[in-house]
Amino acid sequence: MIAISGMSFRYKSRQPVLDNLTFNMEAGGVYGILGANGVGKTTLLHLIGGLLFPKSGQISVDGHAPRYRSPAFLEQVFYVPVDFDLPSIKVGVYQKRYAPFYPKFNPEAWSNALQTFGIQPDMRLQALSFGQRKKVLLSFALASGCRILLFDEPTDGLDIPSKDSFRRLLSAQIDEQRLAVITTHHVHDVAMLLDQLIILQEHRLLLQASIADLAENIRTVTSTQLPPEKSLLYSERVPGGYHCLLRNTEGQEGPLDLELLFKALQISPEIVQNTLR
Amino acid sequence: MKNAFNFQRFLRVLRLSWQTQPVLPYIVLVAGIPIMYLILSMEARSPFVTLRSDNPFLVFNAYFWICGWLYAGLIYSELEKTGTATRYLMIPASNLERWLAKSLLAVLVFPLITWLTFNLAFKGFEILSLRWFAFRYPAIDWLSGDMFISFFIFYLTLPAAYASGLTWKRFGILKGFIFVFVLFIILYQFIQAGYEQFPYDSGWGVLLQEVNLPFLEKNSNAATQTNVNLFWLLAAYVPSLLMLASTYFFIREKEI
Amino acid sequence: MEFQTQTAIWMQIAQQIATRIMSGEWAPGERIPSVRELAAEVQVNPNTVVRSVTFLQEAGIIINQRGVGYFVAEDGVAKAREMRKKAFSDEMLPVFFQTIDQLGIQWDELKSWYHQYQNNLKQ
Repeated sequence: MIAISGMSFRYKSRQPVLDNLTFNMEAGGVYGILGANGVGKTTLLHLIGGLLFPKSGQISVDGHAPRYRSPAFLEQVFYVPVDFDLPSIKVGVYQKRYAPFYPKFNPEAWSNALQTFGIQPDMRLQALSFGQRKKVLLSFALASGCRILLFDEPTDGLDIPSKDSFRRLLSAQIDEQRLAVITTHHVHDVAMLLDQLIILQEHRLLLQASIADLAENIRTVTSTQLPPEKSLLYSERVPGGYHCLLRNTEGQEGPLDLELLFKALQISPEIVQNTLR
Repeated sequence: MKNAFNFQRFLRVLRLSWQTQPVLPYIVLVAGIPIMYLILSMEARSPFVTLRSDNPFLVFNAYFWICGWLYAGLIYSELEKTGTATRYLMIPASNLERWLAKSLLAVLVFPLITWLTFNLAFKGFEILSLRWFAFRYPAIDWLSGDMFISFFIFYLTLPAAYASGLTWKRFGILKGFIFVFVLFIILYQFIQAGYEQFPYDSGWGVLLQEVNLPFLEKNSNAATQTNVNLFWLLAAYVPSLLMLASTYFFIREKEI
Repeated sequence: MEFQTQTAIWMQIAQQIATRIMSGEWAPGERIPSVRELAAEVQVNPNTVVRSVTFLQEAGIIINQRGVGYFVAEDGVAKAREMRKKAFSDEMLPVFFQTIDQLGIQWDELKSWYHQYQNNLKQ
């Protein structure tokens, strides 16, 4: 559904923000994009959404080149940015104004999501807190009927119960025709929703794999003692002993803590070559 | 390119552009009414007024131009900030539709509203005329040559405001105003210099001399008048229209 | 929902569904909630739940009726118990045995603790 090949991006003459990326994202998946600050996650979403144009290489989203921002493309893409803005109107009016642009907009899903988040349609957007406004935008995204949903730090600003609500609502919207892309620093917030993982490092693609494949090759355990050197990839101390990333030799999927994997890869990226390929 | 324009979608974008248009020009539009009233009523009571019959015309021009410039300069203000720009650029519509909607509002709809507001305000002033003074100004002749010049210059400079609002992120209209002003001075100097260089009886000499103050004096020579008109058409309106058209490419190539 | 960190999530969800079948929440022959509903309930990707129900189906605990949904098999309760038992012996017992070895706990000691536990339940 999204095909990226040899794509690079840089601002003016500076260092590349994204360097020679090549990967595909398929419909039916929930992709998590992880990476350190400033590694280009948001830039990648902007390139997918047609808000930035690649300096070289190709990107195709559902058969469209995003940079032309054609209506057929935009009708299928909804982007929830970190730095979002909503007009100073009532929540219900917002829907009346913007929903007609999305042919598959689902009013039922919209009111259901608002209700779940505890937002009333007659509330004024300008009177809402950041988190509440985010809930309005997330509700709209989930009801938009768009086949490609882009979320930049979707759980930022949400209180703890609302994170549950968001996961529940998104889970209900995932289907075979849809693609959701989530960038986040709060891996635990969305880990259970992901089925594909993309890790960026130093402006390049470090890893793309399905969670299932990863879990077949590596697993996490918490144990009181350090496991044998041979299978141990990374460990950190926790109150109960050690939180360890191990080579999975048991032939079946084990539990996998994505945050631990991410930390391990920041320190020793060679794990990818040694264990996953 | 059947995707580029769809009339229904265009109406949706037009409606949204109308709903999200800048409000500041409308505030100035309304705030201008008591100011006009004050100026005109003070003048009406003053015994030293000389330009009395010209005043409504001058007031209209100031009102029309200031509000028009402000509106055209602010119409793309949502592109200044990342958040609003993202919202605007992600709306499912083509670049052509976006551009047409904004242009229609700035070039036709808002000027019309300004014109109507001005006329309504004057009707109101007439009703409000008090016993010890009354507005004795003659009504503006909307079909007069002066009016024609006024609208001519308004539409000449409007695209500059429109384009400068897009080109400069901060204080776009102010920078645009300065830009046009400086350009005008340079052009004026250039024409002056050219006027002294060319012999008076050469074609260029005549043209440069006549062009110096367009419209204000009727040329006796019909051929010269045609040349002058042609000069203004090509030297002023064509760049101005190009400027307006170039904003389309600006939106198309806009990145956040 | 707190997930244990011993097994994969889809396995934990499968175990959880098996437990609910054992508890009688869904009787044999009754339809269990859809994949989508189950996924929303525990806030996971529906594909994860698909794996769980596929596993349960292969174990004969639930039956898929195309286009209708998943139903608890007639002998679903017995099979669910079997599956839970296997998971217990595979995953929990090794840790348990390792711990009692480590601490030098005797069978008699365990027995008396177990009786104590049962008495507590009765009260």
